[in-house]
Amino acid sequence: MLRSLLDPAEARLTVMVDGRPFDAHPGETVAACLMRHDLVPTRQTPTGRPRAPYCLMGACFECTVELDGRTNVQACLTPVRDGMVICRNLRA
Amino acid sequence: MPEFASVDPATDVAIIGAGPAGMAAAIEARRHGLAVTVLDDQPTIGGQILRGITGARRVHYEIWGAPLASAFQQSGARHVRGASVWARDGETLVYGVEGQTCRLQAKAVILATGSMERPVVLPGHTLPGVVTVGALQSLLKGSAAVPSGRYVLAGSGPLLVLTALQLTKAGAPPLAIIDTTPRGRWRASLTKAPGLIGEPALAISGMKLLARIRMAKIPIFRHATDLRVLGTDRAEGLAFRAEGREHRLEAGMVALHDGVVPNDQLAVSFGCASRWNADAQAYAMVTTAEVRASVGGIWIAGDAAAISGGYLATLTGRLAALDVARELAMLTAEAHAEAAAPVLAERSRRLAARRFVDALYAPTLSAAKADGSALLCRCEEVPVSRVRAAIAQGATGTRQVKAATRCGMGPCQGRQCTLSLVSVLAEELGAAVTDFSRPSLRTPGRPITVAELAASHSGQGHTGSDA
Amino acid sequence: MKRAIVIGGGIVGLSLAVGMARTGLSVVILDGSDQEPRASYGNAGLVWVQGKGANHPPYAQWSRRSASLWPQFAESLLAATGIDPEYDRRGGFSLCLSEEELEARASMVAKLSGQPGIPDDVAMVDVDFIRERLPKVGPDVIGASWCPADGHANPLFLNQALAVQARSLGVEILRNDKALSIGMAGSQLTVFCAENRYPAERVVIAAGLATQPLAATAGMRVPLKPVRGQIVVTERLPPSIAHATPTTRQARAGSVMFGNSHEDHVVTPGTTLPILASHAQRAIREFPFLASARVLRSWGAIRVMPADGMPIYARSETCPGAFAVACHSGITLAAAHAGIVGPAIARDALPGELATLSSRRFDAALAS
Repeated sequence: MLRSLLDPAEARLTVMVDGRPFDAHPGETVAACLMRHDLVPTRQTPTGRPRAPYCLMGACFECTVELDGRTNVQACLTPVRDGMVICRNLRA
Repeated sequence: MPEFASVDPATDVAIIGAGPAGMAAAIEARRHGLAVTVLDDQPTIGGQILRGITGARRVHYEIWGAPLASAFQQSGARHVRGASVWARDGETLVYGVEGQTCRLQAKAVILATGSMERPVVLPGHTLPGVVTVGALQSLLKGSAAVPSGRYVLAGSGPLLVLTALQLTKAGAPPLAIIDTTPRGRWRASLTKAPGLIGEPALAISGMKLLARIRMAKIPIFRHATDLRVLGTDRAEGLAFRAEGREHRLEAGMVALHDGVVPNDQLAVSFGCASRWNADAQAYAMVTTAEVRASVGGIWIAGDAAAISGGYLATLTGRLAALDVARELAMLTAEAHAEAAAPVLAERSRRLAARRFVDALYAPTLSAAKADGSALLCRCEEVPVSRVRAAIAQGATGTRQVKAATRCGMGPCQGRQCTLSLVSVLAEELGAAVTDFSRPSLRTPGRPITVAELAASHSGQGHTGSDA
Repeated sequence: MKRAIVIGGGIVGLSLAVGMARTGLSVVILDGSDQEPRASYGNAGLVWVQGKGANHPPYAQWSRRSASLWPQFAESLLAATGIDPEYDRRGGFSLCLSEEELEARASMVAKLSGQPGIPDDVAMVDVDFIRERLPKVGPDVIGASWCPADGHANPLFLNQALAVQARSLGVEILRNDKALSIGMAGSQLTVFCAENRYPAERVVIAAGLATQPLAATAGMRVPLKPVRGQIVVTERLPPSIAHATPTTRQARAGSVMFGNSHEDHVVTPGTTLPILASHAQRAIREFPFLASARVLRSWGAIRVMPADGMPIYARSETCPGAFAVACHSGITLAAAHAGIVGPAIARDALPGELATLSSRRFDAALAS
């Protein structure tokens, strides 16, 4: 649902999302990276409804994912890092 | 057992937030010789309005932004990025950085946590693809990302037009702007702000923006009502009424906005008092002219206390730092008065226009008038209808509604539903919002893990089991 | 129709009001605002018998009596109101993390066993027994006491269900007219409030900590002290803790509540980091999986503690028809208050089985 204004050649980082590799730009947030690759929803509610990043400033807690083994991290507050392992909060 | 907290070197003043208020406070405090630590949960300085100011600058920032950021970076203040503060234990702040718990002792705390967008409630607003207009700003300024497909901007407030222009300039114009500001608001609002005559710049800049929207040929639907996001698992468009008929616009993203309110959860969790601000239709923190909070040792600067915008936030940030410097004996009372006087004067002059903006952009997508099916509490998925039913069953206050519906008990800790909750109570019971207590918020000021809580203090052993 | 006034619309007052209204009395509850401190919003939700009344068999029996009424009580509330108080009676543990805790627990269990009139079902159990029922306990758990009669409910839903049921029985809930005293206006029992006075055939004071001064106006001695309890609440988690303990329970919605603290004579609601951190440290030792769970909130509520820890049931000598009820375990005793005490008060009496829990015990203490 998003595209980057940056030169695609600059997307030199790689992150793993649910076991698959995706390119990432230095400086973009995990939430932006997930939305750019259309990796939504990012979580499900207790009743199973899909949710995705909403406020992108840390106030809504819709974008929480598992990052490098830490659960429920706010993706909108976290910049990507090369090799980062991201798991969306989705029940199969 | 969890690792125990790492302990930072003690500081004179801890500033929470690195937006306009926090940066201005840090610069001023450093000028008077105070040791300053700035804790900010964002990855870069600038807060929301100046996000990305130190980077490639993909939007036009207000002229005071870059000098402020640069002065902050040269001020000698210690800046901790990605630091989420969640408790105050005596003089010690407790915060987390990537799961590590840290403790920082500070003689004074300046809360500069800024604003957040007013929660909106309409059917479908929780679907993936629905974001806030501020979110689009944040993505553009912080991550250089823009919508890749058709999208619309809907709601009320100056951010709508500004964002539309910024995204148009970036090569991603919106399909349309759906403006929910009701007919007649401009005229009604002008009568509330005689001071506006002394502040013509505001009105002129608003007109200029609108002229540029017309030039960019972005359709604007005015006085829109009955907004509804289309789609079942994902946003597929927006339906609304305008100009006497129903419209449906297909779009993969829908950005909503209904003004901004103080981002004051941390202040509230520190026990600081707030009061209902009827002009702004939001809570405002109780502060003195020197922006001292009701709790000793805490100052609240900028939009975190009451919305007045980025530039005014720099003024209250400076006032907070000056008062802290006096409190910590780095400034005499006379020197303080001399330094604070021009700042106070400028602040009161510029505040005159605020009542006009508050009246013009009073909430338009409030839960009070929302369709019953719309979710009032995003986290616990509580529709407006269930809150209305709890009130019909006898609930007379926020605690009773929360107890009956779980509204506010999810991960956002009420950030997204408190204003909606009090507005529905007021509407249903025909009462004033001041008749209802604001739901209390205690530690943690933001969600943390049990391990982080365990690591935050050596504890005092098991406190006993009586059962 | 005879009129009864219940002062206090928390779980104790509502339970009694429901019990009285069922006998045909016309009941009015005088309740405060939503903002008042309320133990009904600030308790652990346990329907608990093990360990209760270890030093006073009648209290142990009374807790048992109420717990045995709870299944029917919960079912009838659900049937009448559609609101489920979420009562689960699967048995409860009190987990021990050290030899000292194990010894203290074992001596308590020994003291309870063999008391007349109390089922001999509280037992010390080993780690295998615990792991079979609570597979997620940590290696620090070395033993526990266990009682199959223990359970827990959702106090928020219980409160709401009782309020709805009370209304459906014709109980009227009046707010914000503060009761100041109970007395006789001539020969008429009367509640004197800030704005109005309410004549009634029966008056029950069930106003939490305010019961003590109000009861005193009608010559009843109900000595109470405030005690603050702090509790931590997590996000909703998959079902993981099937049996409650005094320190940890998982609600049906999935959230886990943990922490058991008692701060005597603290009158300000709120939390303190040392106690919350202690709660978290113990919770992780009891259930290591909780370490990564998110904490969403905590609270420290002011609760009611009778001077000797046991419930107090008082009947006024000077104001015939006036009663007072105060206890620490308003959840456990809710079933008995609705089923036994309310109807008894409607008949102008206290149940005979409560003789030793009457407020007269404080007169005796004073005399001796």
